[in-house]
Amino acid sequence: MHRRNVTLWKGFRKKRRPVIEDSKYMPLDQFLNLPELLSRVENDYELVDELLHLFQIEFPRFRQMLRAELACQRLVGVEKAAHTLKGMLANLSVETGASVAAKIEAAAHARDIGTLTQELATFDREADGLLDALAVFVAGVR
Amino acid sequence: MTRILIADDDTVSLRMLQRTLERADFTVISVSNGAEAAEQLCRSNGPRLALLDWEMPELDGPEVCRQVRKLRSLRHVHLVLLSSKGSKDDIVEGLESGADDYLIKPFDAGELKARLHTGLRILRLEDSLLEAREEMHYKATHDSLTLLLNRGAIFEVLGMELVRSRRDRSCTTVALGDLDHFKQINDTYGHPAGDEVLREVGRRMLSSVRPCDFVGRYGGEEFLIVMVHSSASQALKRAEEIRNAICDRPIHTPNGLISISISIGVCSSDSNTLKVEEMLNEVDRALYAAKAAGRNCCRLGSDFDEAKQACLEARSL
Repeated sequence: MHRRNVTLWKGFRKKRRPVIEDSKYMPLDQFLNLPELLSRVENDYELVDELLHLFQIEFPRFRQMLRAELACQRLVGVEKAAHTLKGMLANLSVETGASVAAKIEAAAHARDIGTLTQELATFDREADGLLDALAVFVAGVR
Repeated sequence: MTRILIADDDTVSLRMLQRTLERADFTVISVSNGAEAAEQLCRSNGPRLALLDWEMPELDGPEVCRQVRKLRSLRHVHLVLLSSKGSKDDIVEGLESGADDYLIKPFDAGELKARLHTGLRILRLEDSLLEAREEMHYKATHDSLTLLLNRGAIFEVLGMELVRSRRDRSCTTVALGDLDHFKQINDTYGHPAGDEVLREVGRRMLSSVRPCDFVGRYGGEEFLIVMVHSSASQALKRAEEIRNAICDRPIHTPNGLISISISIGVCSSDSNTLKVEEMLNEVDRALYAAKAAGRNCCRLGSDFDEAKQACLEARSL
């Protein structure tokens, strides 16, 4: 199903940047540490491709959950959603994103709304950039 | 292939784990919430290795560990918490909930597999200890020659059945069989032949009783049969069938075919007041009555004053 992207991933790995050139978007390797990810999945390119497709579906869902919990002032729910996002991002070697999610989790735990709001803005920027870069990358193979 | 359960509400993490473990020859069962994980792990035939995320819907990882430790006690399940909670306090809390190991996300495939192999070594060690314990229990409760229950075990069974029959207001019956002239078999054919006769008699007894009945070696050439839910008359009929099954054809031994016969005494707990010792005394008297009546026959105890008398006479000789 995702085999068509494998060649592209191999190229991505070699050049440490996406094959797609698009000046409007940051390259994917600005968000994601692919060599580390590949090393952790034992160089299974097909799996990386599949995981990124899954991520495109799952990440917005948990991000929406985080927002909904925050809107309802349920800080325990915010902490849990941020925890899941942190794990998901860390698994894909999205280092900055995982680190910001960790800060949101800690701020929700400490009931520190000020830090929470601030970190959430950073997180949104990171998340939007990552999803855009990923979308461009995936679209490039079509 | 070893079965492993992985539980995580994050599909990306779940898929990554699944592929890594399948590559390492595990059969993977994936679930996305804690309640489902606990349900699978608490089954008697459930997987014995599990990787659990901390934060999950319905039950979190530590709660799954607590439930598994509480509900599944027969065989150990090796539980590994895999979480992005990495503080010392989290690790201590996770391990104290019953987890055997703790890994922090993002996991390294090599470390994960090494830790699971450690878990497998522990499970194998537990299996071999349980196997040794079962073997010791078998040896402690079975007669090594006939493989029937030994004297201590059959007495224990009789005691339990008497308690049960008092509670159920049902009837338990015992039959005590003694091979006729067995000493002559040993003297004539040798002890190896005598041993083979005892083994074959044990086999014939086992195959002629109901699955719910118990057969044990009482001692020497004497066998005790505990028949549950069986009245005196039914038991006497069964005793006759057992006697026929033992006597109807000769036994093959290293020293040739040996014909045997058996005398059987039967005693029933109809009144539900007899204790183990009293039943054994009673059935012993019935057996002596059968011997006194010319052997190769069955006699019922307690109902037959003549039998009691014959028994007393036989003992006084």
